Amino acid sequence: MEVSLNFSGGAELLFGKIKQHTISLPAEETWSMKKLLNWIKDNLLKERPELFLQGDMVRPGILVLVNNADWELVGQLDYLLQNKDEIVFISTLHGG
Amino acid sequence: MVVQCSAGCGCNAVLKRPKTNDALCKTCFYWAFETEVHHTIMSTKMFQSGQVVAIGASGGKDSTVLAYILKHLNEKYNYGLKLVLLSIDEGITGYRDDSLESVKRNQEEYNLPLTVLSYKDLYGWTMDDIVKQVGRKNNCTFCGVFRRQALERGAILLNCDVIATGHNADDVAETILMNLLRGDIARLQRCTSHITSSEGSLPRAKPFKYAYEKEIVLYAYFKKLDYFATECVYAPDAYRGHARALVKDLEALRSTSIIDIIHAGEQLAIKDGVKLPKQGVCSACGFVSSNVICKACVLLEGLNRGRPKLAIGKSNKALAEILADRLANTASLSSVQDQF
Amino acid sequence: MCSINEENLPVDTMVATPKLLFKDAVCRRCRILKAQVLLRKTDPYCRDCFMKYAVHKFRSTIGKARALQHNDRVLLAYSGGLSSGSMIHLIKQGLEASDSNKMKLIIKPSLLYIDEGEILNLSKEDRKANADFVLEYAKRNCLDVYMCSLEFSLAADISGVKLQMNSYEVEPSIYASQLERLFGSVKSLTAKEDLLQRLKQRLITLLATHLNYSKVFLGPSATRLAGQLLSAVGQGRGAQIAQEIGFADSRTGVVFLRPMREFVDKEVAYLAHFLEVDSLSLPTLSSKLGPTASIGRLTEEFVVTLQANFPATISTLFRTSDKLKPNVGVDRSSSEFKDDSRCLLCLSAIEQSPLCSASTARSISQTISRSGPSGFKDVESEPQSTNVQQQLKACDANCSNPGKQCCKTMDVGANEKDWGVVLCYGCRVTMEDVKTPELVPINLQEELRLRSRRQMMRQSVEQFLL
Repeated sequence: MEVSLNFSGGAELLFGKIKQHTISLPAEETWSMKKLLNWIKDNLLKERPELFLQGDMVRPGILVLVNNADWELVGQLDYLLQNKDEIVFISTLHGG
Repeated sequence: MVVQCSAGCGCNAVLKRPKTNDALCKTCFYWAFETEVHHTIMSTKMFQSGQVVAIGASGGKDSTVLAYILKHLNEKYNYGLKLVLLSIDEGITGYRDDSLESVKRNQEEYNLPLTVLSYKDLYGWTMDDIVKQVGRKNNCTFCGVFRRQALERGAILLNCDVIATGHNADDVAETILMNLLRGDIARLQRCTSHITSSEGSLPRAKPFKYAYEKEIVLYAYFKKLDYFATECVYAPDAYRGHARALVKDLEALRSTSIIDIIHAGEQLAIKDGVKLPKQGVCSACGFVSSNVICKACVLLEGLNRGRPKLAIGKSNKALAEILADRLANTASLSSVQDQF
Repeated sequence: MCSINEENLPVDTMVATPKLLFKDAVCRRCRILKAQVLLRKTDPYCRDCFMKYAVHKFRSTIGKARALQHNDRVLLAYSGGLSSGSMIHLIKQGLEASDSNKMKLIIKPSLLYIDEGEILNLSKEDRKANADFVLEYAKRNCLDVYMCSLEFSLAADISGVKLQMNSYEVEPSIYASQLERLFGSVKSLTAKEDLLQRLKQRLITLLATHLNYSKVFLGPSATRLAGQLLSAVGQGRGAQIAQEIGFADSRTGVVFLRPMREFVDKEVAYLAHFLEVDSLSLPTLSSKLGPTASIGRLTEEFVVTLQANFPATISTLFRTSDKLKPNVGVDRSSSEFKDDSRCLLCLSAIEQSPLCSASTARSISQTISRSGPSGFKDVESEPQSTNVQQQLKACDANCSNPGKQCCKTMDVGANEKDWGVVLCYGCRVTMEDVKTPELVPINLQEELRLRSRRQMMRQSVEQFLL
């Protein structure tokens, strides 16, 4: 399963300044957003995980869009990823 | 590492003052702390000779140190004040009964008369009873509103001229932030004044307005003052905790920030033309209120009607309901209308 | 011990919104399209309705203040971030609207970019790359862009400033090392951030005046400003909230306007996403530092966290600050008096210090702590209008050399005490953390001499009048 991740607004600073990532996840598993966040933490995050995640959640001040819609409208952590999904993380925090 | 006292007395320092970052020895600290409170009292003309001052005594550190210092300064500088202790018994088992014991010890030690007034006597309800009715969510609202008025009623009963409370700089800073966060522009302006008085109510003085909580604790600790230190058994309001936590975090970052916040608060000026609620008196009990019926009376009415949540949340709705009932029962319709 | 009273109880606005389920929600405005946006945790909108709402809000923020006139020359301060980037997109849309459209903007804008790379320890290459991004952005939007480096804020006047247009080269200058030394000598991140703000304001004013722009648009969002409001309070800047948080700030003579101030961060993020605004990966002084790195960082974190639980937080803070006015102190008519009462660094009015006030309490604490019981003359209730007088008084009491250079003022540094004459309270607090105040672009010594002399003259005149 292929998923596109985009980090902007300063969030990319925590990912080696790379904004666009395309990742492949094993399609035989089901992937919830919660699981994806953990995957990002283990595989993509370069530093300071607490500036991206707070507990299981994305830190307040970082907006998450799933296929151009607010993730709060699709179930947040419970949303199940589909092939070719586009996930966008926009940090609105000053310190990045 | 041994640090010398900043005052140059040659002694070793025991504390670093958060307000100025100076290191002081015990003797110089006592003197500095007392002198500053004296300055606050003198520069605001907080008290006049011959007045009777009710010290709101909770048994906690602030009011214990306040009673001790006011007695000391009154003698040292001949203020000519008559000091009395006034305690409010909210009726919280395991909390207030213990702290009242400590007030009673203060009474003996400082030789000041003590009066205890209870919510039960004043309102017919103890806090324990109220919590049984309203649960653990809004109980602080009842307690806070009732305490303010209880002190006032007690002080009037004792023929006092002014009430002195132990509100310290941390409390004032917290209240400023709190009023900003809840958008209460009228209180925002009022909360920084040294003495709040309005017609029909006793003036309230805050001699510790510029004294850091940390220094009050250290003063009590070094002087081995007997006070009662514990949190109320009913958990404090969650949101309030936020403002307090912010003040503490700010202090940790820059210790002067508490006094800086108070300075900021004192400098806030309200735009011309902004409407402020008019201060009047409660038509039910006669105490100062910005509404026709004061918050305490609305809360009490709710309790007595068996609908304790009446005044929680949309207080205008509750007010309207009570007013409608009263208007139906009273002939003095026009006098109430005049107040609108 | 509990100190809750009627003064500090929570109110309705602090009630957290219940968690609602919005799966497959429909836009609450058009009621046709699928919602893509969720505002205030309760209001789902489709993309089109959100954009209409946003454009309308942007224009009404500008319109209701009546701050702009037809064909005004406006500098748009562009940082490379999402908020100022979205601002420029919205302005561009307004400029390109048809003549009949009510939403048409009739102004003459150019961009302004201040390169802060020197204090962020960016390499020359990184600074160049950032500048190239900005140049490309300006070109794509068909706008001219003025580029200048932050170090020129230390120049005495415009003649020392290197200003470039539609191109940028990082060149060494004497000010670069001066700026580096200045920031290297600042003890706290809080003071660094405050100093940066003051220097940026100074530089932009200098440039705008020189280029004949009377108005400057700044891009901070509601969320950022709400954090700055609490930060300002935490640093003793209560008198300046109206100017620093409000829509317009005219302290410097150039009018700074904040048209993004009604958008919370979440709205800015939606806007940037839908308008396809690209942003620069720009670090700040506090990048990658924890939430307690500085007062500004702490208050921003506080606001963002609180807003997530209590969606009325930011709007309530704004409602409060919009009711405040600049505290200009005593109204003094003559122009000389006016300049004497202004802060050299932020150009705000220097606050009065009544006998019983926090600022007097702070300086009395200092005097008391440093003199000790033996060397202190009782303050009683004599008025002490300035720090200088106070220092003189404390000095007279126990100095072997009364009236002349004092033993006490010398060891704390002769200037530090006198800042009250030339700086406002907030800038004084910041300068206490600056170890090399001589690098700050204000002529402290000279100004101090002038102001003290004028004050002395006034006092002697007043004595005659008695």
